[in-house]
Amino acid sequence: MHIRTDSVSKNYLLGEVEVKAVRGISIELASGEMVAFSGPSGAGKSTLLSLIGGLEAPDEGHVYAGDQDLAALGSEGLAMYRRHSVGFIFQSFRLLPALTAFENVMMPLVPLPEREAAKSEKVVAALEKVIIAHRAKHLPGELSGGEQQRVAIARAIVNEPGIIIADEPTGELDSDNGERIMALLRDLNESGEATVLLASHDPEVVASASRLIRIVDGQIESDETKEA
Amino acid sequence: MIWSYAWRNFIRRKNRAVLAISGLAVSIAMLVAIASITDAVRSAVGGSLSAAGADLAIDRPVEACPMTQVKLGQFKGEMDASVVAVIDDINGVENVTGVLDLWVFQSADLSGDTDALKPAMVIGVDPRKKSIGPVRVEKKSDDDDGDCCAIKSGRFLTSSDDFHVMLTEKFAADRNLALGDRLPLGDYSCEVVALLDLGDGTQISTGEVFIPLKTAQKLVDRGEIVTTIFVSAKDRDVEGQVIGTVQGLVPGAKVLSDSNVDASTSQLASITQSTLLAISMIVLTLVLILVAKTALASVAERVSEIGILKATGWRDWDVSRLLTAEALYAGVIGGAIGTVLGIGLAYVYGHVAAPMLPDTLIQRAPCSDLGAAVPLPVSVVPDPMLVVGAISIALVIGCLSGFLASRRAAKLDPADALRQL
Repeated sequence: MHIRTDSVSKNYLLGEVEVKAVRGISIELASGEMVAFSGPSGAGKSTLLSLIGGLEAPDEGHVYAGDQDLAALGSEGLAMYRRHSVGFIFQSFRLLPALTAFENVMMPLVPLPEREAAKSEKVVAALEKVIIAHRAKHLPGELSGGEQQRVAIARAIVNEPGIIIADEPTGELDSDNGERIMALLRDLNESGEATVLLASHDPEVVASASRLIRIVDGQIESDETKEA
Repeated sequence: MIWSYAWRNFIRRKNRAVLAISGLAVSIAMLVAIASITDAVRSAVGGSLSAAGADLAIDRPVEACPMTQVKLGQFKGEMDASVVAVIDDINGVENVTGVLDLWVFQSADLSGDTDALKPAMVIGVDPRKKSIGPVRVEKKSDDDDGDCCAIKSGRFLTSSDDFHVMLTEKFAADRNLALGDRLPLGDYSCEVVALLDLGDGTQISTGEVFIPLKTAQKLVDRGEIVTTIFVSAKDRDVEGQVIGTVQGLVPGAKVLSDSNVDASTSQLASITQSTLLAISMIVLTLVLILVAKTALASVAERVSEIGILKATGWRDWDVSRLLTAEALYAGVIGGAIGTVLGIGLAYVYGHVAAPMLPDTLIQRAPCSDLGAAVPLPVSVVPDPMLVVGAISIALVIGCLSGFLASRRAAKLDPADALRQL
């Protein structure tokens, strides 16, 4: 899915201090790109990804997903956008501890008016794609960090979204598991199924993307595309 | 799917679930117990009219008359028997009968060996009226739930009887009388033709000795009079007409109906009506506050989960359904437990408290061997409507809780929720 931001800004309060997290960023992200956002902590990477993912609305500017201006969508419209177009992967996995891996992946499908059997098939397919189907009945607490992140990726792709947003996807993994997760994300991107946007401090993670955008103080410092 | 997910969430939070369920269960139990006890007591006390197959009972209270061997029942004033015919002519009156309550003082020892006098409560009844009055042998209709089978042995009085009596089994045992024996009443000697069991419940015109009305009138020698009139009406609208007619014909007449009985019931069950109701309302209020706080706290505890749900495409409405479903589980379980508990409490009350009939509904002579205190047989029967109502209240509380939680959850911005982790 093609993404465009137009002079987008976002401020939020940290206690009583107003933080200018994103300051007038304009970028275009082509469909099928794998883009890494780097920069120091607090630079605005996660906030920019939140704006693109429709988790929050910008204070100024516009975010376009395809032809759709996200600012024109209400709360319900943004929820539907997230449901059908975006898959999130978080640093700390954010799996629900009382639910099995299968049930966690089922989570985005629960409100959908589809047959249970069809939903289950999608969940199994997603788990198989990230090679964790054999652990489907286990609770998150019974899985390693790498396995948990695979489950989180399965949850992100179960709705076959056009955009996968991964915020520090390897932040809590050792290097081996981190590399496996990145390989998985590359595969998903190269199979042409999704635009992958990731934020990370890790140079190795960043290096695996085809395009690197460095953000400092809420603004784009550099934007480099690797040569094929 | 949301329901099964909600159920897993509900049982996962054991402490909160137990708190919500027990709060609801206690308040519902209080309400159900109060309603059941009140209903059972009202039914027991109100049985005095249904036992007589009547909707109204009319008498004329007066001061006690001086001591004589035969006198009208205490506080019973006479009414002309023609009033019975007037009432019978009112359109909509189903059945009517007049009875004469007498106290006849006689030697406790029928052999005459001692001079001690004991009162016998004698009721003159119309032998033609078999489905209405203090002694009934016929049901007035198929759906008549009153006790109509008071005769244990012998036969009911007939129109040709003069000096014939029906006795309660207790009276007969006290006086050592059997069928065929003779009982002296004033200047007459009457043959025992029936033994009765009138039960322990409240009765209007409670008597021990039942004789033909005309004999009772002869006994007291005051003409064609009655002291109590029982009226069965086809519908409640007729009652007002009867009351108006009676009060016009008989100044000072008192009419006992379901509403009067309810007032007596209230007096009897004052603890039920006031103290327990107040306690239950306090508990219900506290539970409402508890449930509301629990619902809001539940959202506060679940910011992370709600943030993730919203990030994965759950709409506010979906989250709302989830939280409401969880609250409804608490409502259903708490309501069901509370209802069972409440009926159990009412059942225990009925057996342990052993309530007595209020004085206003006791018409036995204070000096009678039967005593003034009459046990009230309170029978707690679960009312399906009460069960439905109680669970409905619990569900309403559950819905309210779910609504509050939903409102709070809807205000949660997913990005803020995820940022708080």
